[in-house]
Amino acid sequence: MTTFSLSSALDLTRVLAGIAVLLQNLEMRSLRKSLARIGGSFTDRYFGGILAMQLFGVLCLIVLPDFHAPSAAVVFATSLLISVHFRGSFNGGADAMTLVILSALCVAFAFPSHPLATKAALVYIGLHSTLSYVIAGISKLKKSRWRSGAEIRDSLKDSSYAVPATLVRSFSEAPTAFAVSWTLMLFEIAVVPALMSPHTLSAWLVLALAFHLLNFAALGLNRFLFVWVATYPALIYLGETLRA
Amino acid sequence: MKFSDFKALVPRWIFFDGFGAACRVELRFGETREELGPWIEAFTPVERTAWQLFHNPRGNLRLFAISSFERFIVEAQQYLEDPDVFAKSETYAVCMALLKEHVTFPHSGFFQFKVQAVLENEDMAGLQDAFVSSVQAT
Repeated sequence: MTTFSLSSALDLTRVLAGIAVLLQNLEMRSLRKSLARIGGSFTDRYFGGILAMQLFGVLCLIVLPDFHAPSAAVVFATSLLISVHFRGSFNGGADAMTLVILSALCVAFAFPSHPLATKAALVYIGLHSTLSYVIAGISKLKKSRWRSGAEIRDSLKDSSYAVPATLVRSFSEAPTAFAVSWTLMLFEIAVVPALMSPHTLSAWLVLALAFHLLNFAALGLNRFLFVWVATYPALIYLGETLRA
Repeated sequence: MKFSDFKALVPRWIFFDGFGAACRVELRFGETREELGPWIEAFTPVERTAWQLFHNPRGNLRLFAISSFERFIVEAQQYLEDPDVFAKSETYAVCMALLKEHVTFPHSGFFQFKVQAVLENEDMAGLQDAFVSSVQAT
């Protein structure tokens, strides 16, 4: 794995986070009327205004070579307002990670002549990304239904996430469910040792991409893929920092 | 606005420690209060396509609806003695709007809905009625 410079890690994070927010914005816009009726805080007019501001901000963030600080601030503020509109969150963890990345970008771009601010921002994103996998893995490891494979074997067919029948059938055999459970749990906690070597981190990131694609196929969680991929430059930077 | 409206600023990172049906919402309709039809699922699954990897508004709206009803169940427990107050709450209003967004309500008649939830016991996964509404005019 090549060594990331601070500026290239920050730029890649900016573009990837911008793409993730752009896709979120386009989803919101296609549901605008419904969402304005459903949410609590803003009327349709205000909600439409927030979406328009977010779209403008995120296009500036992705495309313009300058003005990153105000663009990131607009995107952060509008993303937070959208979460508030839905009484805390529209898409759970994806909203939370979006705000983690955007808040860190705001700090980095607010102090462009201070490399320490950029380093702190990337480490902050990288730590949150690491924690998101580790905590999810440990919380599964604590549950006997996950350790035995029963959670995957028995629960997928009735899941709120509407898992496709082909995947439910694939995971319905006890040995398969057991193997998938342990693969998933070990993958999630393996991010910490993976950070210690560029080669293991490369391999782990490929697995992580496959994991998020499987999450989409099984659970329909498309937003998580783009938001978490936006944390990977920071994860790579965190690994380099830990190894230095 | 309440403090909980800003909860996205405080990540928890506990994902999918249970894949089961966290909650299921059903409703039924009738022309009179006494004769209601069969229960139907409110938030039917959205057929998954490759394009939804990039654009999945209805699927994400459905997941938001389900998580809203999970919150509904929790808050309903706090108003067991005073269901009329709960029926005027913001959570109740949001959930009713979500129901009407997903299911076409007839112009006249009556309806009832119920929310089923998973018991908080890791050795016993199953749905039970957690909330059954009164019969209401559409």
